Amino acid sequence: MNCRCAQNLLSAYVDGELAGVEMLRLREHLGVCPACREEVEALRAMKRLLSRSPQVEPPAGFEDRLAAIVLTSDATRHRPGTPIWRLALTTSLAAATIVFVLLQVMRPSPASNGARTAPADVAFDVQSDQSYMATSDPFGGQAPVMPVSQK
Amino acid sequence: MLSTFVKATTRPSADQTRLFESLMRDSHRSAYSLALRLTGNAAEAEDLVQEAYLRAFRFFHRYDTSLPFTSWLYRILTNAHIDSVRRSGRIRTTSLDQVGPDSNGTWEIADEEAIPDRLMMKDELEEPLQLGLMAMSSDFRIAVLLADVEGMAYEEIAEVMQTSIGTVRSRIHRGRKQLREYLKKECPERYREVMA
Repeated sequence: MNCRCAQNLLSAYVDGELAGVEMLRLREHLGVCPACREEVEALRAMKRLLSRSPQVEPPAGFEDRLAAIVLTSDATRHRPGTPIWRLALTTSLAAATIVFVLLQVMRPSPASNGARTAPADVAFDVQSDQSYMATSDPFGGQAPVMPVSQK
Repeated sequence: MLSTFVKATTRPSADQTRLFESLMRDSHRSAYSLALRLTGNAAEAEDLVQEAYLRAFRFFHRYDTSLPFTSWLYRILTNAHIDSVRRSGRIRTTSLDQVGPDSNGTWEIADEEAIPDRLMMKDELEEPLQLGLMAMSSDFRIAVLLADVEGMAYEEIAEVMQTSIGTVRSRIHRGRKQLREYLKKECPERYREVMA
C-alpha cells in the first residue's frame, strides 16, 4: 500500500471503521511510514477536540416554548412546501407521462408491419422494381421465349 | 404516495402525542447543541430545532419505534438545515481543482464572504473550533459532527444523510483535514495546544 491509498483510509482507521484486508494493509503501511503515522495522530487530535467539546445548553424556557409550539401545531396542516395542488399536479404529470410512454411503446413501427404499408409506397416500390428489370435483364422486360426441345 | 398523503393528514392520537412529547423533552438538548454547531448562532439553532420537531410531529406515524428516535430526528434536522442553506443561498461553496495535502482531488472550500454568521457568532460561538466548522461545506460539517460529537457509526451516519458509507468516510476524512488546516493556519497556538 502506498501513502496515497493509505491517506484515504486514515480517518476510518481512527474511527475503528476498517476491517479485514484494508486494516491489515494499512497497519503494515503505518509500520514503515512515519508521515502517515503523524497524520493519524493529527486526525485523532481533531476527533478528540470535537468529541470533548461541551454540549451547549439551550436558553432558559426553550423546552417549554418548543413543546407549546410543536404540540399545539396542527399536524394535519398542509405546510407551504406541499400544498394539495402540488400533489395533484405531480400525480397528473406522472400519469400523463406513463400513458405517453405506453402509447409510444405499443404503437407498431411502419417498417415492421408490411400489411400497414401505405398503397402509394407499394406502387412506388413495384414501379422501381419494374424499371430495374427493364434495364437490367437481357429480354428488355419481355417474357422470354424458351426453345422447346424436340425429340 | 396517496396513502402517505392520507396518513399525513391524520391527526395524531393522544397516546402518540404523549409519546412524542416525552421523546422531544428527552432529546431537545442534544438536538439544540447539534443545531447550534450546524448553524453557528442561537437564533438559527432555535428555528432549526423547532422546524425539525414540527416536521417530526407531523410525520410521527412514519417513525419506526425499533430505531433510536435521535437518528430519525437528526435525519429530519440535517435535511431541514440543508433545505435552509439551499433556500437562503447563504453558504456558497466553490469547487477548486486544487490538490490538497491529501493529494486526492477536488476540495470544496466555503466562500467565507458569503457567511454573515461569522459576524453573528461573535456573541455566541466564537471559538476557533466553531469557526473551523463553519468554514466547511455543510455536508462535511454534518458528517464530522455526527461522527465526532454525536459518536455515531458510519452506517448510522449514512442512514441519516441518506448516502453510502463510502461517501460518509470521504466526507469525514476531508472535513477533519479541512478543520486541521484551518486551525493550523488561523489559530496556530490553539493548534499546537491540541496537538500537544
